[in-house]
Amino acid sequence: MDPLKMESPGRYEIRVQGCLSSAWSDRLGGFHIVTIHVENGEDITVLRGEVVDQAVLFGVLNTLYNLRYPLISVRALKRDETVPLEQSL
Amino acid sequence: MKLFPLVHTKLNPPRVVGDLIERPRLMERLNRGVNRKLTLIVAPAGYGKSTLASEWLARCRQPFAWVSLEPQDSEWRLFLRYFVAAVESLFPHAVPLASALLQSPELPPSRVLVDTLINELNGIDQPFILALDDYHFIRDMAIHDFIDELLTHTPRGLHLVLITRLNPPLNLRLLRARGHLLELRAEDLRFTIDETQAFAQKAYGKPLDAQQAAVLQEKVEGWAVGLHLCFLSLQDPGELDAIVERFSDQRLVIDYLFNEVFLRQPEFIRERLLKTAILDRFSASLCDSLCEADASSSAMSGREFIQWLEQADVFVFALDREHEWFRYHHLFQDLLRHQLAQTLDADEIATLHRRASRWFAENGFIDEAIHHALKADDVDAAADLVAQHRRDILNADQWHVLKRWLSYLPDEVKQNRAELLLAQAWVAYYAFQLWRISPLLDAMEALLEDAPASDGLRGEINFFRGHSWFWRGDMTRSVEFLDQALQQMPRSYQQGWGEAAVFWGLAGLMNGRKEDVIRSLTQWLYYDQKPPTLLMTRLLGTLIFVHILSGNLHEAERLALELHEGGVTHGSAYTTRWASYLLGYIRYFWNDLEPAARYFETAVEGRHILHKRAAVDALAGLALTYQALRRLQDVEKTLQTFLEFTRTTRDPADVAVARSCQAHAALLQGDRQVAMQWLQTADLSTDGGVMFFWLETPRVTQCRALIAQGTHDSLQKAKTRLTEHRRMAENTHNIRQLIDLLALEALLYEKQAQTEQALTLLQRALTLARPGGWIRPFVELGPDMAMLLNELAKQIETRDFVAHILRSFSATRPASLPDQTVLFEPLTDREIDVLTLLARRYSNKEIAAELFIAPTTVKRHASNIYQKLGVKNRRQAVEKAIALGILPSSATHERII
Repeated sequence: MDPLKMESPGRYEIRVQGCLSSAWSDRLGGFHIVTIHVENGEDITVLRGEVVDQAVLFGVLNTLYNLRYPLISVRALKRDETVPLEQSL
Repeated sequence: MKLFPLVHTKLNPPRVVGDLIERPRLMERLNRGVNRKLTLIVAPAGYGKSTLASEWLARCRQPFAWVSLEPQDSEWRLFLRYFVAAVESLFPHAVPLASALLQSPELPPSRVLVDTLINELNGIDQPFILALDDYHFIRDMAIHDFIDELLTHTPRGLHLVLITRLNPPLNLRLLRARGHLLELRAEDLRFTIDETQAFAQKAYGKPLDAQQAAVLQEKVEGWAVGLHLCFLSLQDPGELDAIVERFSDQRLVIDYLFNEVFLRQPEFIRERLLKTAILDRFSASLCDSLCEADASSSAMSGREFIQWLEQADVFVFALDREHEWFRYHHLFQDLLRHQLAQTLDADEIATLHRRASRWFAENGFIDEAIHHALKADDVDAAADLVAQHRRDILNADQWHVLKRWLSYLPDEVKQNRAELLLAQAWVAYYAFQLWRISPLLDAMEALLEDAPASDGLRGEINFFRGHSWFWRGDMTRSVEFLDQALQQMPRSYQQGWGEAAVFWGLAGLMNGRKEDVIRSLTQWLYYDQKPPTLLMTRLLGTLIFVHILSGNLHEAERLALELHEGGVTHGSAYTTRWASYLLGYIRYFWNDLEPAARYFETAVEGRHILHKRAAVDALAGLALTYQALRRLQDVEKTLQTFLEFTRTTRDPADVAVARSCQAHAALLQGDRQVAMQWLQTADLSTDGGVMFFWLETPRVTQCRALIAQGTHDSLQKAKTRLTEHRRMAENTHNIRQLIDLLALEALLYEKQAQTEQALTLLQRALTLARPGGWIRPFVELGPDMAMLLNELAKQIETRDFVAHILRSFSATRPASLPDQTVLFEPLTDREIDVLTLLARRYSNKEIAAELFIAPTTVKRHASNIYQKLGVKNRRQAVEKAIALGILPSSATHERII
């Protein structure tokens, strides 16, 4: 993977606990939002998207915090990485 | 129009409008924590942090102040201005120095600011609480460093409350370990089952059964906003079961709850809620103006809407006691905005921002007006606002607010409007970045080629032209431009007109129109309509400069005392420090060295408040006064401070003056080596153009050094230079410099064994010096000058002045230090300051004003003094101090003002 920089674009996947409407996408950096139901536990929401810089990413994390979604993971994605949603849960 | 550079509602704690749930367990903890240094309330949005803190403060017996921070407050100066304004809301005159420092053109190093502020806060000798809400908006590390410092050296009365969504980057570990910290976190703020029941009781008027309460508490995790939304969304607790059922295996979702509440409201209420969500604060009148001509406006006025908000117990806080200003709960506002973006299109939202901008502008809240204009993407409207209000804000002496407004605008807009170019020129003028002005003027002229400018604009441009010619030494041209400037600018534009009057006065004097200048300045000051404080200070200052430059020190002293009194009356530390500097300057040239030292010390102590160039000269004055008093260690210390100060101003001209002063002092000490080294490396390029009245003038010191060097070449060079400078001083009617230059020239001729010419020049110098009583220029030249004066005394009739000067030579001997050894515990410097003023029969209040401390601090110093001297009252203290030699026997005579 290319080294990450504060001011460079990147792709990220964020997972939080709970369900979140996809209508929030605009206010969450345009991230694609999908909530998945896990058999034995609570809902998990996966957000994926491209950020122009780290400020956008931290803005998204901040908004999730303000909306009270506990964070499960944040991961930088490789350029063409496509991961099925269910994987790595 | 009244302008509001600070938003006053940010200094009030927001109060919940509806019913409150009592939370005694938290109140109890907060009460106990008040003896610690810091209360930290940290939790995500919606846990009731601000509500809890503001309710606690309202009930607690201690005085408290509050600042609601916003993202734009994460700027060092603005943050401190709010911080200081909050402290001053409790103790109006507790932090005068810090307050004055925040007005200075360039902020002093943060070290100086922080020390000053903490020092002054320490003078407040009663407990008080200061709460900073929404501290998570602060990003500037300098602000975190300041808070850290404040918690390390906590002023004795202060208890700090930080309310924040995120853990602040402070050294909490140490505070925690020492038991200085009370922490309330989400876990503590969660509503308990009991509190949930109490909440339901308020919402429905009937209780929730224990099991329902337990389930609900678990579902919303005791989250205040969640509970509140829940209760708003349900008509009856019976419906609760359905909700609980629905979310049996999930957490309650905020937008679900919000929609439940929102969609139940009538259409016109929904519209109101959405539109007002663009506002960070609102009043009834602002609501009306925002919704004018919309469907909702006929259904309900702004006043009625606010009443509805209060009754429906929606998420709204009152921001003042009068219940004029309100804001939504931040989280609720976020949800409304989210909804707004989905309901209205971008143009419609922009229209709302435009209306808000207009209302804020009409009511004097320019920062918010600009903010909304930019939100509406209407850069031109934002630029109009700055252009329209720039004069008002400059008249209010708030040029750095103008600087802030300009920073909101994009460059291409700023460069294409004459008013904004002028605004930038004024900012550069006050920030001493004079080199920036000329390109701005050129850009302005280019713009105005096509569109003729109004008289007012022309006047300002002419001011800057005249100002520039003044410093280049062309007084004829300078006066021409400034004459026009004064005619073209209205006098009501007191800032611009006042600056023009300053330079018109100086240029006029130097152009040989002294009588004219004094007459006009006097007329403006005393006979026309009484000028406002700002203008009066400038005119008075100019009159003093004019008298100093024309050698009339007595008149200058009278006016400087008037200036000082005005500064004390208006509580302006800037003005009193200017007066101290000028009074020190006058006493120095009268060879009245002890008072000169005291005045300069006061000026130097306030160097970061003072006009930068005056501060530089005050430092030079203090070093040279100490030198004249042979207080060599103090000379060394002052020169050290001087060099450090010039490092902070980062202006090569200041460094040049500091180095020149160092050489000047070395010459007076007979240390030729230092002076000769300076002579070889001195940078005199910054001391070109017009000669002002400054005490330390590098090009004159250069001549002193050349004469001291004493070689044939150096004397020849000194002669050429002195003749040049003398011509310039003669041409610009600069009597002050002329006296120095003639005395030096006399000395030079004497060294070259041309006594006849020497005596002629000296005679001329004396004639100029006599009316104003200038002594120092002669005394400083030492035994050679004394001999020359003795020689002259044989030849002339009027010997009184010469005799007077000659007596001053012998009086300049090491001052005896007060002998304090008879005291068990010597008085501190500060206590001696207080004692000196007590001797002059100053009241505690006057002493407080003079020394920039709180009256209570004066009392404390006085009681310490009485104790150390073993006396009971101030009369005895003064007598004993004189008897012990701590005060001179003349101390009681000298009431300065």
